[in-house]
Amino acid sequence: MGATEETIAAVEEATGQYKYGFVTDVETEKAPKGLNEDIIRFISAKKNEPEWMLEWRLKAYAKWLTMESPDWAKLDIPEIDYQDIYYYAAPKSAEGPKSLDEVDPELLATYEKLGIPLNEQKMLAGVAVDAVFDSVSVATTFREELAKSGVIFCPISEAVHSHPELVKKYIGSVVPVADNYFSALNSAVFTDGSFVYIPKGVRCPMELSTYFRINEKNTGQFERTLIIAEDASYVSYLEGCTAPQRDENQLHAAVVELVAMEDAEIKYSTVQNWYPGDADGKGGIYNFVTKRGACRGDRSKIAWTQVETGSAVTWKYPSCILQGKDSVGEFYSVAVTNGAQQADTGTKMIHLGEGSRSTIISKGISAGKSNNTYRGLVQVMPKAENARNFTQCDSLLVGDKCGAHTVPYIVSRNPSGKIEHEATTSRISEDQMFYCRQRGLDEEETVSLIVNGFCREVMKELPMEFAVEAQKLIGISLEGSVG
Amino acid sequence: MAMRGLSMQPNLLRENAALCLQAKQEFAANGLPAAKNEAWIYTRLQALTLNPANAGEEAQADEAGVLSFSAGWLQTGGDNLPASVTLTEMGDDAILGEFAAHLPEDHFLGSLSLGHATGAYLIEIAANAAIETPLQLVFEGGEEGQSSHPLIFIKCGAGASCQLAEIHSGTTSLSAPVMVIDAGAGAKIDHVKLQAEDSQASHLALTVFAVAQTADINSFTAAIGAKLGRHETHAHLNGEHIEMALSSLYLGRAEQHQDITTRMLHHMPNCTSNQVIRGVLDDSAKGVFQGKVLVARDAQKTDGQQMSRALLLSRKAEADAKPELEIYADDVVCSHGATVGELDETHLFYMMSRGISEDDAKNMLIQAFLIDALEQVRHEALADILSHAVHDWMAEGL
Repeated sequence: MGATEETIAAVEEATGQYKYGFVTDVETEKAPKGLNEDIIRFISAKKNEPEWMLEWRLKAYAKWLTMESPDWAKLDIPEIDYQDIYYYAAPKSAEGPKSLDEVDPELLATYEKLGIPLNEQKMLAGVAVDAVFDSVSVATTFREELAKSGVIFCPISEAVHSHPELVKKYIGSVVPVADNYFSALNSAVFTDGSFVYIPKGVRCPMELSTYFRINEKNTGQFERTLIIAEDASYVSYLEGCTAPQRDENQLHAAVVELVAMEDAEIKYSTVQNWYPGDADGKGGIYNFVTKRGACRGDRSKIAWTQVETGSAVTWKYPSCILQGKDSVGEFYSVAVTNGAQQADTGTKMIHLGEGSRSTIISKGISAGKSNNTYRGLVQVMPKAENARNFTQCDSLLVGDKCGAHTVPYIVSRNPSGKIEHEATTSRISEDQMFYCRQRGLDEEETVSLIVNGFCREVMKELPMEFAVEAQKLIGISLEGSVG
Repeated sequence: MAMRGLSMQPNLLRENAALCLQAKQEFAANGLPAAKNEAWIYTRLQALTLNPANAGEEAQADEAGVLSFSAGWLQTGGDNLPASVTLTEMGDDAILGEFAAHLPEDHFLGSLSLGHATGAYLIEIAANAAIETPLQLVFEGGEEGQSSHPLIFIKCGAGASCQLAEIHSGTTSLSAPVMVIDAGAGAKIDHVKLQAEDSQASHLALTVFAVAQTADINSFTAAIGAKLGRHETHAHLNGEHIEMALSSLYLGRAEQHQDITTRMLHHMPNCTSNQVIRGVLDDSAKGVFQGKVLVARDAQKTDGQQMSRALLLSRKAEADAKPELEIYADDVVCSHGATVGELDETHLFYMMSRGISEDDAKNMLIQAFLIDALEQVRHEALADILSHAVHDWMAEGL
């Protein structure tokens, strides 16, 4: 087998055999299929939401009805029947459990299979996990310790009750309801997600983490996450995703909003490994995500890091609105596509503040018959004196049936702004293979080494807890496929 | 010997040819590009002056190799062309069909000018001919309120070599030339285009290169004039071992809007393409560069390079860029780069500290910036045409 074929074989494994394909049998409480005002009222009632929240949802729904699904991305998506989806599914549980003991043991077993040691994490990792199982957060840990420093970390459905003034003030302030088709849909039907509030001057004592899972068949998952970092605060938030194997396409439309005030810093890291579908693209998650952060205060900083290996379709552009003077936006991304996966992902950096800076490092790896597109916007507005941007997009092609595309948009309206964009496309060369083989590495190790080297700039930005998982993910994608 | 037989009272293609009528219908049905049309996101077209001019008076033949057009109509008979160059009118649907087949499907600029065609001409260069005198296509004349839509089909035979210069300095409100350059196997073409239209005019041009194997194309466009300029080029590399250089510079002052859009389409293996783009924008001018490099599944061993840089000289100037790579083959070397910024302060300081005035220093730096692009023009006489125009533009700014 020549090096090229082996490389192809290696990466075909990337997402071909999904390790996490299993279904947990937990009784769930579902709303009927379909979407209408009654369903929204049902969701809102299920959550005992105040009137203003329901009104907000209904307004969003009315708006959504007038909008059209975007078609500018380089994605080939079969038409989605929005009436053939369950918009609410909650694991059956009369009241929220207060500790892990009260959590349905089946749920815990699922997490164990996924390799998320909830219990151990308490002791070992110092990570507070707000686990979202389908739509309702069922386990929340470390709340007390966080509360000591004044950090609020809870399901957003709870925050609506406990901190309505904060939710009211910030929800929809970064991603307006009508921002796009999927954000409007999410605003109408979001079921749960995380709410994080870091008070002034507080450095969050631990990494915050949630695991999103899509479990119940045919339930869309519509998380809504809101993170607010007050002046001079710091938080690092980790989001990891795995999902059971499915035959039908599942819709996922999340909205994540970040707000960073003066001197605040938010680090948001994602590992996304949802079911990508089979080799022909059957099944698999449709992932339409709107993630945006507003650097409202001077010297504030928001950094997005993502490792995207899953989903049949990824439509995701974590962005930064750099309003504050000398604010900083960063985007580090590794996207691996294989089989018939399609990814159209990138970022937007909108420079409004004087001296704002942004860095974009994107690494795309395409294999199989997949298509992997980087699409990004860097915009320097007239008032953004001395704004700086550096963008680097590298694509690695593995095999001759895949596609790698780069579509940067650059808009500069201030002469003092400096924008630099570089993009390259290449493959693992015979020379690289030969060099490593000659030094005694087998082909599998070589491919792994080269791919990890290719992604290194991004991987080093991940928090340690995630770096291990991410490297493992990319490792899984390469193992057992050579020879 | 050049073939004559150009009727100076031509039949109006746009009223007679089925293809033109069809294009006109298509144009009417589609209208101007919508706000959400990706290909036109940075260049918004408001109302266009659509009033195709009719043929004017015949004029004296120019110096050797020069073809003069007025408001989109050829004025001279082509007596001054070299022997191996043939000039004919595209008067029937057969040749027009061959021309139109090269145009991108459902393309706004294509249907605009096919549907409103003024003169339509075929220029053929015999196989293996080596043309020493540059062919100059000079488009001028016309009146405000008129539009010109010349259709030009250049067929360069296998193994032939030639130099083409297009000079657009008309006075119609809209100038929308559509040009197809069909390069045969092993042809060597040097092509420059100078867009120096009237300061109130719109210039919306579509140029298509259809290139056969081992051809060697060196093309350069300088967009200097017009209030609204769009120069869109599609280059189809249809054979192996093609060398294609497609570079440009754009200059903008006052309210000018310059749009350079390129699509480099690598359909076959072992080809090399290179694009160098430079833009200088002053006052409230806006510059747009959109460049796609497509590498098809079979186009292994492609080397596709593209580098665009824009220089903003004023607070109100704007530069937009959308370089794009669309790659389906794995054994390729492709890259693009784009930068936007102002003159480097340290460079300015260096020169001023050596006694050069600020204005002079700025001018030298701008010139140096543009020379980078102009150096891509391989043929000296053609390069001179452009560098004079650039020089004049610089001088006007002083």
